[in-house]
Amino acid sequence: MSLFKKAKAWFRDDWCTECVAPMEARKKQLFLLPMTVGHYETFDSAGYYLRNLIHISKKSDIPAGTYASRVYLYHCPSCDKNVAKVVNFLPVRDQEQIEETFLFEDQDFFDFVSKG
Amino acid sequence: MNEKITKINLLYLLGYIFIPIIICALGYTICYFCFHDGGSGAVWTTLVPTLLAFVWWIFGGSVIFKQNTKKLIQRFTNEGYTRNQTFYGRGKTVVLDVDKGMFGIVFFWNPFATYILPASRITKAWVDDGKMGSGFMEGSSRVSFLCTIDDIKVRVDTFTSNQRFRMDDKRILTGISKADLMVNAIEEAKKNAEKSSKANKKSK
Repeated sequence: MSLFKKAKAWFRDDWCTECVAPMEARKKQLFLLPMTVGHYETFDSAGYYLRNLIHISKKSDIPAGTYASRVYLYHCPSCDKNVAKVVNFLPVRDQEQIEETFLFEDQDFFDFVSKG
Repeated sequence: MNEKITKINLLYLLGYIFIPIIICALGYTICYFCFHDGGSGAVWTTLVPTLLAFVWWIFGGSVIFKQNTKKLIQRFTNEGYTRNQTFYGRGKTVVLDVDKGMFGIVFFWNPFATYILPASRITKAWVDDGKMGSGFMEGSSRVSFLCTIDDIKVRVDTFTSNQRFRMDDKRILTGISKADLMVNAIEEAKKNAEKSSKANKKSK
């Protein structure tokens, strides 16, 4: 295993850090985050997102001044690990102001997004 | 509720600036005639009014404005409205009851008048992103939302700076987002106010 590959896996969210290999992208889903502009708070537990994310189908469903989360699901075919990447952002007209990104290995959250 | 909006109370503005000056001038005159040789009397008539004047100019306006902002919010609640949106802007505070279509505002230079009026009196609401310059100089130093109430233009800043920032800067985007949120809320409140006034007319 080359050092370069290890470094790549460390910096790329869609690479499995254990197998040091690219993961399969399973799903990409948009959710509404119940926070308005100026009232953003950091929550780094999957439980919060599991309880509060509201499923939406398209970006135009996000009301002005409301945060949203884009969740990417990854699956590692070699070690069977499931990873959910949550990107919190504020949509402002045609731009996105990214606030934070989290990686969760919580199976309940993964199932919640898979079903949604 | 039908009162006309006044953004600046001229008497208050002039009093705010000139009353401390008059008091200081009076103190200096008393000092000149009564405490020509100095002493504690001279301190009380010159230094103390001067210091108080500066304290007044720096803090007085904001204290009065904050107190009257609280009064506006209290009045808004007492009159049975719910604050769906509250925006504490620089020199203006705006409150909105979107469902009942009510709009409340208080101005820094007219703090003793708190206005609560139906949002149907707002003729137009829009966002000004303050975009200026071109090429690499393109940017903004002020983002605000504006509305015209009885043909009086009211501007509430959501972001201000003495520097110009790029249009994709986090501060500018946040300012635009806040302004968009408020404009949408105002427009919705206006629609609801118009609906309820039509319903009231029909029932009469």
